[in-house]
Amino acid sequence: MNAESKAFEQVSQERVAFLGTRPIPAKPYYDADWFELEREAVFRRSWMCVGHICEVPEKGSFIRRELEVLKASLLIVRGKDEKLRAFHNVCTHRGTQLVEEAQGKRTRFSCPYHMWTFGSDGELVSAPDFEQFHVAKEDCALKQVALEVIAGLIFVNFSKEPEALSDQLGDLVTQMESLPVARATTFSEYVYEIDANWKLTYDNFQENYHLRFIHPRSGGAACGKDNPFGYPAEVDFHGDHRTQTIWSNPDASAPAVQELGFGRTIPAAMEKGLLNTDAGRKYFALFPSFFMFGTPVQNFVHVVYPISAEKSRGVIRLYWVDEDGSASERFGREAIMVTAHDVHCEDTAVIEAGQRGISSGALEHIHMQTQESLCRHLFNVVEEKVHAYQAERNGS
Amino acid sequence: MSRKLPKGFEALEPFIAIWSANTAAQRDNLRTTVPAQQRAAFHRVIAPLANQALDQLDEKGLANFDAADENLMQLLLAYAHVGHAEEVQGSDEAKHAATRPRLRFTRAPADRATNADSLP
Repeated sequence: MNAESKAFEQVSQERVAFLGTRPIPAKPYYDADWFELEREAVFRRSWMCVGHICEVPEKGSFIRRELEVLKASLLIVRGKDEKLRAFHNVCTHRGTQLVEEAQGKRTRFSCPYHMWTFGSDGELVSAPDFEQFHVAKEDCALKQVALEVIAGLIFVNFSKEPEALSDQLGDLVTQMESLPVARATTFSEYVYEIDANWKLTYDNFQENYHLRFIHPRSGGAACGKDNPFGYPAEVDFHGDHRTQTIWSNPDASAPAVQELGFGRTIPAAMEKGLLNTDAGRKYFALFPSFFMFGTPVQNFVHVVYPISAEKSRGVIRLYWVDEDGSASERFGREAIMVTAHDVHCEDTAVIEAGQRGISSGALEHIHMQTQESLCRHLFNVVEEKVHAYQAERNGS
Repeated sequence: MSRKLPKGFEALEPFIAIWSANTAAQRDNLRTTVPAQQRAAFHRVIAPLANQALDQLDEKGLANFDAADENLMQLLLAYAHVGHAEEVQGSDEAKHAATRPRLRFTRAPADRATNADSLP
């Protein structure tokens, strides 16, 4: 009996017993005060994905990114030395935002207010009548934010000396690097705003319990006789991060448009060596709010960005290696994008319905079963960080 | 008179005016706004031709497309959307359509006019 035909076995409670079984307090999913704590305890101290190196391919290429949760605007620039840096998009004179464009290419960044001009390395190059100031130019460089690239993805961290994300992730780095995203040169993208807490939104995408009810048509291949709820084949925990291995129904048949879409991209993917990965069914859930699905021909990243306690934004990207090389590849990429989009569209209404219920204050607790252990893990990690931050603030 | 579509795909000519679009966002919008009967009529014609159309366009190569090939490519891209309406969602398509504007397509490799980036 090979691995493909092996009967499905769901993740046991023993496997996830370390997470506990307590009901989860509902308040952190809507409370504004708790959200303020998360801003500092979670988001100001964690690595957040803000883009991909294919957006900043050349010296002087830049992208601007807004992170509402930290009230921050970031400028990510490839310098003359080819090095990628992240800066606060803030002139060091009197705080004016330097760049309005979402992306572009420049060798200098001039503040529109008083023309302080910075190089692509962040150094202050010139400032009119600078002799009148009482500060040295070298002390006026743009304020830098820690940046790390993993599998081509750009992560930033607002801590002064954060632990490297690659150290946190360990073996997961090699797995992520084996996926198309690491070699991507372009991508498809769709975005959404949702009236829901970031954890509630994120949790929807790390449990499969809802699949058969919310995705009866689009999620067919994820459920089967052996596994009617489409539970994961495996879950794993890596410090603050976690993964699940998606189970696929071996008896599922795809509609013609999907068969054609996926089938037509496989020859090119094979030619590019994109199918050689052991992470092809793995869902990477990096703390705090990053997902990546490893499937080589549908390698998508989904990041949930908090806006307020009850509002978030999602950005979903499917990463591709090389521009379209043929009509088949062009068609396949469009069809594969629509397949993912059709599923994600079905989630928003039910997430918002959950938020309305939780925000009503009717519940003191919510409940998570064994197969929702990834959601429980997220809450446990968030709570631990918030409590540690409170203790630190109180000097205990 | 120049052909609107490559030889063998004349049956698709009546659909060019409605289903040609520059971007994924426009194709998604067409899926939602074109009346269901017209959508189904397009699907009935293009679905059985899609495989053959891709073979023929692959043989020609993207760099060598003429206007007729480009029209056929645009119809195939529309099929990528319409196929999901007809083959996946079926009778749930109207309900599904109500959810789609929430998730806006901002960029796709096939887009002919690249949109501004939209990560926050």
